[in-house]
Amino acid sequence: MPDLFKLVLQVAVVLATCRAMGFLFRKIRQPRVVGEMFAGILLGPSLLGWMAPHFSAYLFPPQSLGFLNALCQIGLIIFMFLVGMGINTKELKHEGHAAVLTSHVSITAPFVLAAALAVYLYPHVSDRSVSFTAFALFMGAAMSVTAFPVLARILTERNMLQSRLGTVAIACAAVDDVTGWCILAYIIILVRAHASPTPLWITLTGIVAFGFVMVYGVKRWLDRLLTEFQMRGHLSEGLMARILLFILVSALFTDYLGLHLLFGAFLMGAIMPKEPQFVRYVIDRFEPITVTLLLPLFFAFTGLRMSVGLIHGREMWMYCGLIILVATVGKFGGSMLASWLAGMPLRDAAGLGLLMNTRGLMGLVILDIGLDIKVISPALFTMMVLMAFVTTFMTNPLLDLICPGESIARSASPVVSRPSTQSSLTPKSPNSSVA
Amino acid sequence: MSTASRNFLIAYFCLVILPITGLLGILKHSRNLVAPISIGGTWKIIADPGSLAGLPCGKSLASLQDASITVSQSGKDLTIALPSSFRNNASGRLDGSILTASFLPLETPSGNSACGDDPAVSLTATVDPKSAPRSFFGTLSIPACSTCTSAAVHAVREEPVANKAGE
Repeated sequence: MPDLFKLVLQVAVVLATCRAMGFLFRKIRQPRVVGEMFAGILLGPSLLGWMAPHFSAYLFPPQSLGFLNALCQIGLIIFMFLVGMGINTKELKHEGHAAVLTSHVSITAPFVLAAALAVYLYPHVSDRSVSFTAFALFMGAAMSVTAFPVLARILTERNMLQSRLGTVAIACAAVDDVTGWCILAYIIILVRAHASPTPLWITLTGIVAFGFVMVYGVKRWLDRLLTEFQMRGHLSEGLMARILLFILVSALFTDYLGLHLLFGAFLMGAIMPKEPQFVRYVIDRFEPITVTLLLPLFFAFTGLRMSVGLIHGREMWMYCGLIILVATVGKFGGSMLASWLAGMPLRDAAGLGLLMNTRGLMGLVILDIGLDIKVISPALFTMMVLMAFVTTFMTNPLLDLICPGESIARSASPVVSRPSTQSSLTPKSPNSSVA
Repeated sequence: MSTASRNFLIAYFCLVILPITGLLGILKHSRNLVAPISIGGTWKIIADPGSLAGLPCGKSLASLQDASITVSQSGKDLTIALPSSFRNNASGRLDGSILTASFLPLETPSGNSACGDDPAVSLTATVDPKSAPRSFFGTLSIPACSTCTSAAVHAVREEPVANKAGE
């Protein structure tokens, strides 16, 4: 039985810390999510456990973390559904060569550099329970992901969502996320294939069959939801409950097939109708409790699993610096170079590179899975979380430098006049939370 | 084909296709890279109580008898969570199959001049990479204690790492 008092206390402390850090980070012009990520680090062994070990042990005893994790996973399932809902890869078609080239280079450049770095890091921070292929592919996936929701939030705050730069960035981030999750799925299959008694071909067939049923069966039923919404202007409680049930069943299926709960939730979101008002309506119903209550718990849980103390000695800090450098050069440099070659002005290209370098929560979700399936060691997990935090943190100040107000105003002239679905994952008021 | 399309194809080949080829090359040529032996997980310590008692400065060593320690591995670097009679999170290192670690007991022995100033307990062991479940054999000693002999220690991993992707 869970210790309910302890669990409620944990939730209260996590919420209070996340809100406080979110507020403070807003004061230094950072998205609230960066403050919440930082709050998670503060609550873990890196600070609270180091400064007040007894209080930390009282507040987060190891036996209580299972319940906290269960709440986190439910939050992540709904969050990944919302991310999938906000993503519309068809938008890439409207953006032309610049977006196609930029999105593909923004994946391949950090991926190749991460694999090259993996050659150096593998003997130093991994062990023989992980194959080099799985290790290198995971490093690549974790470094090539872009935090789609954080990106949308930054663009909204800077009034850049409808600009050429904004639309290209959003389209590229959507492609990056879908690609990143496909690669992660492959890694999980690769890793689990060695441990699972089920033959690989059965797993693969199951995944393909499941994808087929979702895209050609469930999607049709979901399209009917859109018709219902357009007729009545809202969805009944019963229909909302059915959507939630489908999310959970889809998540359970992918987990049963040997992937991860989050893939099913993401796929469910991805096949939902993309009519902007419908997307906004559904997200408005699911988002508040997810981003204000459940996601902060995930930040805290991630913070509890990392410990800066694991990075000891000059050598380890050098690895950490290398990871941040390679991730930034690959993502920022690759995106900037590609968009510049595709005809974008250099300043806008640099801005796009910075936006694509934002990893935020999506990076943390992938890293969490990597630690769960033991592809990365605890010390490498800590380094990669720091990388995700630093690359997200640096985005706004560097954007201020590269794309100051005047530049934004000029490039903010809409090139595509259409309602935004991307803002669906961003709250309406600047003070509300976002993942 | 327009100039823009041709330039796009050239850029796509140079920035996407070539790097992917490079990636495949890296994966192919580096798949035989060797990482340290996996020793992460929970280990059950099996030591001879008689020999542990023979360490006059190592009263706290008695708590290691049949105790479990949790090893968190990051390459060659190890972080070891110990029983409560030791200060938590000792650090260790794995060089090849040789495991070395140093533990600090919570209580320092007093009144015994032979114990020296440093109460640290040292573990040196050899991991058997072929054993299943994985095990190590070694000795526990107190380097600062001139009169102490080493105590033999044997440990077996309780929960092997679940995902064997390459070992």
